[in-house]
Amino acid sequence: MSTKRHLFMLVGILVLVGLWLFFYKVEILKLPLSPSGQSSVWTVEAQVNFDATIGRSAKAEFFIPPDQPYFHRLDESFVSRDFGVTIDPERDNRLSVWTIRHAPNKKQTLYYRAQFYFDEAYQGPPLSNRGTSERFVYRDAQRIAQQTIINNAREQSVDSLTFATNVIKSLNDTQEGNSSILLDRDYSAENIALTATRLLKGPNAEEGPNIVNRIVYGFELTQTQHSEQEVPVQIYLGIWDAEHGWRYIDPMNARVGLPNHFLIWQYGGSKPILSLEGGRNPQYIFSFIKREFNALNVAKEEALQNHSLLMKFSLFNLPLHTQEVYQVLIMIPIGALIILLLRSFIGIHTFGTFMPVLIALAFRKTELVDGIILFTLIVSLGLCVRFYLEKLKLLLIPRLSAVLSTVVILMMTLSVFSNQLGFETGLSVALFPMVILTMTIERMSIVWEERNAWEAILQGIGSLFAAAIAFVVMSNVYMEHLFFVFPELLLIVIAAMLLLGCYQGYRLSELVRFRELIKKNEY
Amino acid sequence: MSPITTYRKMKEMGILGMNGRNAEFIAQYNPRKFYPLVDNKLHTKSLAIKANIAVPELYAVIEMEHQVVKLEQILAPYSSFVIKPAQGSGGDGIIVIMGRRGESYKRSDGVLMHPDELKHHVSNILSGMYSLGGHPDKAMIEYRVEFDPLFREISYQGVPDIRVIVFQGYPVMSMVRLPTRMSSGKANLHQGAVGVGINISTGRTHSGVWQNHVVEHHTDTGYPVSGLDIPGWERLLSISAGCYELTGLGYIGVDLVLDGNKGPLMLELNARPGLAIQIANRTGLAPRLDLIKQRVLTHKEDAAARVLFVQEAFAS
Repeated sequence: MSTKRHLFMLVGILVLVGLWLFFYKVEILKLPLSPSGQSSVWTVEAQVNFDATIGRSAKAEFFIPPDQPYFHRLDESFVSRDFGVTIDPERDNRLSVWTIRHAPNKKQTLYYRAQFYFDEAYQGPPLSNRGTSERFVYRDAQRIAQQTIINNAREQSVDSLTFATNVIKSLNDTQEGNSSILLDRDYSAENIALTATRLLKGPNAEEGPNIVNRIVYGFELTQTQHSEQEVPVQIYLGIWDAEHGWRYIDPMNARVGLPNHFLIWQYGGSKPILSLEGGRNPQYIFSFIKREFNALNVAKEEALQNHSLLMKFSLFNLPLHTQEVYQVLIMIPIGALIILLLRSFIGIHTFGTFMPVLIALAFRKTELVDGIILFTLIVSLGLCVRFYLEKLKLLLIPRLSAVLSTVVILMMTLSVFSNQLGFETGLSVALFPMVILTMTIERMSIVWEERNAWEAILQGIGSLFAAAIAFVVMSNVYMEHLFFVFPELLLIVIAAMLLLGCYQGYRLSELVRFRELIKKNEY
Repeated sequence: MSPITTYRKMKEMGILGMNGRNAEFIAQYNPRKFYPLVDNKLHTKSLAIKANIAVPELYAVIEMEHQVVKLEQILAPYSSFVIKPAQGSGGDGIIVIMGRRGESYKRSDGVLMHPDELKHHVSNILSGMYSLGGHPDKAMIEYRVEFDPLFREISYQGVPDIRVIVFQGYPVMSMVRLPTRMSSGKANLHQGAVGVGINISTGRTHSGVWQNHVVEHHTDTGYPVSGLDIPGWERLLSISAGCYELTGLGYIGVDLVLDGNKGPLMLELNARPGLAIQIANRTGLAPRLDLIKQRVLTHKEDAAARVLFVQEAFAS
């Protein structure tokens, strides 16, 4: 009994370790469970142009996208000949500072490029709850207009968000005198947003409304591919309250919420997106391209970015052709598990224990139906040759060699003929492992002679059947993906094998075999 | 009958399945290191001779290809003999020669074999065609058993043999295996021989099994197979029980033949005996094996005592 307990402990440990690694990779590293997952990845580019004075120093401060909810940054790069670049975190923002001591020519162009991957579940780092600190005091008619709008909004609102929407609604109302006075007839999004922040903050702390707010700049990453097309910057007004955190309002229509896939470039409007020292005509252009990437590659890239040790020591870091080999090899245990099931639960007879797994591997090159046809064809032809050679009374090894050579010739002939006839699969037989075929022929012929033809055919069919089932499972795209991305699942496969090893009950075939015995005992 | 009720009934009857046999008996009682003793019939034979267990006389062993050339010379003194691979399994590669006609050899099924054919067969044996795993093998030439006239009417050519399952030295179940036309004279149930259960305490046969079906008559000769008394049954049982000490394997099948002149001879041992014996005896092995498990906990007996115990315990 203690060996039983030992076994169950081992199985338990294997399953626990396997599942832990599996869930870690799924939950933390976000490796995808299914292979078909395509992730959208946007390559965003910002181009900064300005005129420098030749031989003089220049400094450009340019905001770059901060860490934010919903977007994983996979990779970023700065293209800036002769410029030094540093990145300063600035509250929620990231500011890149480009400096040069002696500008070599007048026209300067700097590039910032980054890849973003959209993930609905990603929350990003916590944001600060400080809004704009600037207070603006209106005078005269504007002061009266301000107070009217504030009082109206206060009456119609229940919290800071509704307050802010009401303010923006009245600012957008072109029929209203107060808003036109405040906005000076400039109904642009920027002006409305700026005016709204001033109104919501209030002229001083006592007077209020003291609503925490800030402007955000950014743009929507749309599904259509904007190739190298200039993207306008959009402005939203962020409102903070302790309960909900930051919520955003469109200054043009007072609608709440950011559009989907909105990439925030800068929080708060205290500094312009680009500011320049020692240069003129600053200009910046945004563009982006959307690409569909294999979800696996995206997750892999991101995990590598996070310097996950698990990813460093994973199959992904092997050279590609080695990866391909392992993609096949890693499925062999699955095939073995299936053969185990077929043999000890169903009781199917096969040639050798793992011959069917090898046949299944050979099917990978030909697909199932073609594989079975080719296999049957070559094995039966090979059997004929072997029986003929048997008549010549040759020794075992020369005969085996002759059969092997015949199999090669058979395969060549098949390929040539099928090529002439225009069949594709005939060619793939060339990669069909010959040794497997030869061994099958030899084993089958021994069973044929020593037992009988029926037994040989039965075992042949059993082997093909087992191979077909093993093939279907082993070549399943999901299975391949699962086991390649999560090789730790093999620990669970081993655990399953160990547990199956404990099964001492009857095989399905034995229920048939001993059926007579039970019938006779009934009367 | 649904598979589940079938399963339950089999369990009730104590029928031993393949998985159960492998896990509970072969894996636990048959240490792998002792396998060569039974897989190689030459080893088994020499062990048996040392222990004074009667075996068919060994005429010659052919080990090398150059000996095959001199095969006719080696065979010259013997009019009848058996050629078998030392490491063969399941009766594969065995040829029984009854006599000669001219320079040809006459097989037990009446077919004549040219000396060249016989040499080719021996070569095949040497190259490992019939051995487990295809290892190079040796060919044994030994005494051809002249089987007891008792079985004349219920066997089709070939030599009927008696299989006894011996668990930790206790013979637990036995059967006679009768060659048929289908088995081409071989006494192997896989190949179509008839298995006939034997009452272990009296040595009297009851019904038989052929291709997993219960039969009362021999499939070729039509004579009834039940109600025969095996002569020298006690002796046969004690030889079987003694085979346990030969190898140290706890769960074996002992194959014996009844020679008309020499009585029971031990042919070979099998470390993975089949399960069809249960159909022949219409009894499950499991309860008997369990009883022996209990017995060995409390008793340490010699072969004779073990035989007495099983004759009493399995009398019904």
